[in-house]
Amino acid sequence: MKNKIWIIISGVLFVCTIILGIYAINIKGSSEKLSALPLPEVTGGERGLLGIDKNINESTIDEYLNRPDSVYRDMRMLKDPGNYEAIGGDSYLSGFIKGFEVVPYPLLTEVKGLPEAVGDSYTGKTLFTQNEDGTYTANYEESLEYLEYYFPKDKYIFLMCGGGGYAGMTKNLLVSLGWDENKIYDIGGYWYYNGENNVEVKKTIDGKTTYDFWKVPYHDIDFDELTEVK
Amino acid sequence: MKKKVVIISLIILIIVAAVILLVVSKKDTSNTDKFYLDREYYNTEGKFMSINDTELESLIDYEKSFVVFTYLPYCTFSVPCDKVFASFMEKYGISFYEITYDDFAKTSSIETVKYAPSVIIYKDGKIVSYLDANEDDDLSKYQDEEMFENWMKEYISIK
Repeated sequence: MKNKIWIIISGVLFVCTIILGIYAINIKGSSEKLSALPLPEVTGGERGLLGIDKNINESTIDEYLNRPDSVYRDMRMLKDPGNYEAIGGDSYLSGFIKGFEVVPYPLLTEVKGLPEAVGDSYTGKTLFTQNEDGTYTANYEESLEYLEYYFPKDKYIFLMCGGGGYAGMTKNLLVSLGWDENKIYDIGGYWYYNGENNVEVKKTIDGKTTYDFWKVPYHDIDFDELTEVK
Repeated sequence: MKKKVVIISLIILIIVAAVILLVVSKKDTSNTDKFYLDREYYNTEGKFMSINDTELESLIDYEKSFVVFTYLPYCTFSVPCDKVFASFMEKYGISFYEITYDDFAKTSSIETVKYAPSVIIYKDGKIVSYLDANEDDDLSKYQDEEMFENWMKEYISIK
């Protein structure tokens, strides 16, 4: 009699384990399904002028990282040639959000409208030149291919920079060249980020400041390897 | 029975007092009465004076009344707001402090003012009003001198 009871109990436990296992697998499966992204929507105020998104920005970006249907691009330079120290800034990329890769906007096209005290940012070669009518002309045969490689049209594209400016300019560039504006988000600037995925690059020890640029997934362009459009 | 009535009345009184206190304290926080900044900020050349986070905290600790402009050095706008603010300062000979957002974010004021650029009005070391870079309602105050002046005059007296 005792044995029968133990057999029944074991059988019930076994069945429960199977059911729990199936349930756990289903939960895991459903959590891996990607949630739909809200359409890009520009926030209000001055930040809205830069094109920063209302819903996906510095304070919410952690919820949207590591999506396989998306790419994440930080548009700053490691060291911006502009004299930002003249206006109390830091020309160096002092940190970034894990998951973002750096593709400097000043290498894509000219930077315009910087404060006078800063002087010029990078003034070297660029993939595109902006025309007076707001359109862009490719300077190299590979220019568009480069953009398509780092900003694939079949992915959602999350852009950021220091304050949201370069990111907004990048979105304008991409949309002007035929990208879908509803798949591109200007998530704002690193300076406002207080999330869990911060990677510090700037170090100050005993009053000496250094930068761990080796941590930064950075994509430079060797213009000598490209074919100039004649 | 009498005891119950007394207890209930006491409880009601306490609740009413608490509600009144809450309303009054909220009113105090908003404090829209005009006031004077500390005198050293008037009759000046009307320029920005650079400070860092330590200096700003010190001004707050000493309960000073002053105005601060915090900014990001990296982003430019179609209408440079610092020129709008500078125009007001020069017109009335009032000086503001300026602090980079990087330094500002290290101060206690970051709990209230989340984004740059912003102009923040302090009375006795407390923030009474500020421009919110995320709000459409404040956009015109960043871009139009008259709108900015009207907003400033809501809070501070111009000598």
